[in-house]
Amino acid sequence: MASSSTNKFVLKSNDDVSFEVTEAVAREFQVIAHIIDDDCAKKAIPLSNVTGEILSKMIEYGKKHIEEAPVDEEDEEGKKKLQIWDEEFMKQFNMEIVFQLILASNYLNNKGLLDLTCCTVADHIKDMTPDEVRTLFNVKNDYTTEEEEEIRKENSWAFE
Amino acid sequence: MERSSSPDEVKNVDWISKLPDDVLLMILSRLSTEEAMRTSLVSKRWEHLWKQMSHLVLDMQRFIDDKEPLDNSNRVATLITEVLNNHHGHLESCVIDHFTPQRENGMLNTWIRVLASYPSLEVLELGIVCCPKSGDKLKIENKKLKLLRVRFCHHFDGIIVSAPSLDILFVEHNSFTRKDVVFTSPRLQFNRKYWAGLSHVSYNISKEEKSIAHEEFMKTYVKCLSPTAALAVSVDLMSRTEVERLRQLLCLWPPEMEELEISFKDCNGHREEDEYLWEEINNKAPFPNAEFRVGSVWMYNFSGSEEEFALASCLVRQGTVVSMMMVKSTSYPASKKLKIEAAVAKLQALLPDDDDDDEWEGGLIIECF
Repeated sequence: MASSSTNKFVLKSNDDVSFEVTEAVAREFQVIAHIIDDDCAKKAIPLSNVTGEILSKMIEYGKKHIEEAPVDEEDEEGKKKLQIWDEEFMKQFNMEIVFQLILASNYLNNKGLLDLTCCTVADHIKDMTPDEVRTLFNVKNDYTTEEEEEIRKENSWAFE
Repeated sequence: MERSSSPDEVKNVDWISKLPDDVLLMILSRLSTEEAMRTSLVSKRWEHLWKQMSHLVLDMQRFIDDKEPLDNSNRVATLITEVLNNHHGHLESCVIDHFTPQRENGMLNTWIRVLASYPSLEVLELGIVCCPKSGDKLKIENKKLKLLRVRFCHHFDGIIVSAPSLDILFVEHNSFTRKDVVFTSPRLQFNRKYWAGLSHVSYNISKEEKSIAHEEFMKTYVKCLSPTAALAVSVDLMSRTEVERLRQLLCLWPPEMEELEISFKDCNGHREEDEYLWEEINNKAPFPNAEFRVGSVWMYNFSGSEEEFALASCLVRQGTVVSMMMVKSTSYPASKKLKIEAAVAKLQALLPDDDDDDEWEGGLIIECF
């Protein structure tokens, strides 16, 4: 097998945007790693659930995490640097993009990015009332007042 | 806080409710138990989600600063029971802090019973700040539990644990003597007679590929150890996985351990393919590392085998053991006893000659007992 630093693969988004990436970056996404291992990666790999805009962001993330990977478990400085980069990376996105990144990293199975994006959403939910959560995420309240009362009662531990 | 989005940017699409349950659960797992439970009110999609969370933390101290009169603590405890009953039951770990100025009134037993019915629960932590009735022992029965941590703040008259799968037991602030402690946890070995005021950890190192108990202990609990905490560990030195986990454990332990008990597991003649494991360890860096020091080491079921001798000798040569290394030899058949004594003599030979009588103090003693 050729070394992963020279092997290149082409990832193709559902709106026909192609990205050439090294094997190492491609392998950041487990689903793609499996495709490579099964030797089905001769031509461009089509990713039917991901747009070019999202894919380019995911590749940017994957590249960074390959290039700047901490040397080992004890490389606290390396970890910290990457963590700061992650925070900055997430700041550029609105919620719609964040959710698309979550769906795409779940689909392509990149645990690091999935964790990071979920964490961003959790940080928003923290300290919010259910009503504020609905407003922020456009969730329609489908409870009746009585049902709401019932749920408050059932979960008194959390609402008192 | 400035948010990176405004509602118009989301264009009125409810993205979050479209996420699959396992992803929503990942988001909830980043919240406190209470925050996660409160999302049940967002919409029907969210009503039961928190009940699938694999980790719960229920701390009664949350209500302490409230205006709640203290005698309401019974009511608060009842709320915990409700949470446990409402949860769907796929719980892997649970922390409960029972905080009441009153006498323990059976709530603990109720929780322990409910939790015992959860087949997936592997990690349980109980913080107990309440007065037991005199003569009360804490009873914990659970067939699946792998890790149990109990923090006592008051004197209990003892603890009875019946947990056949238990690999790790971590007891803090206790004042038990050995007879106050009743265990039916065949995987755990320990021989200390008196635990007064100390934290005690019994640790059966597992060779299972995935050990939630070991991961959880390394991630969460090892940080909570006081420098006086004592460890009793059971290990199979022929298993690479177990030796590596022992190394991780000792490396993260506070660096000056007072007392370490090691029980060597009988592998019933089963030897793994790792013949060169200890040769490899001896040739490489110190085991577990160069910094770790322990006052006294007590060894049980030492047979004098190659790998047991390799471990003991590296602890001696590196100066890891400071004052005593004691090897159990009584109560074994004569032939085994001879073999142990021969190995101990070889260990003693590793010590620097102490002809220089002025310096005898501080020297390491290696003996059979």
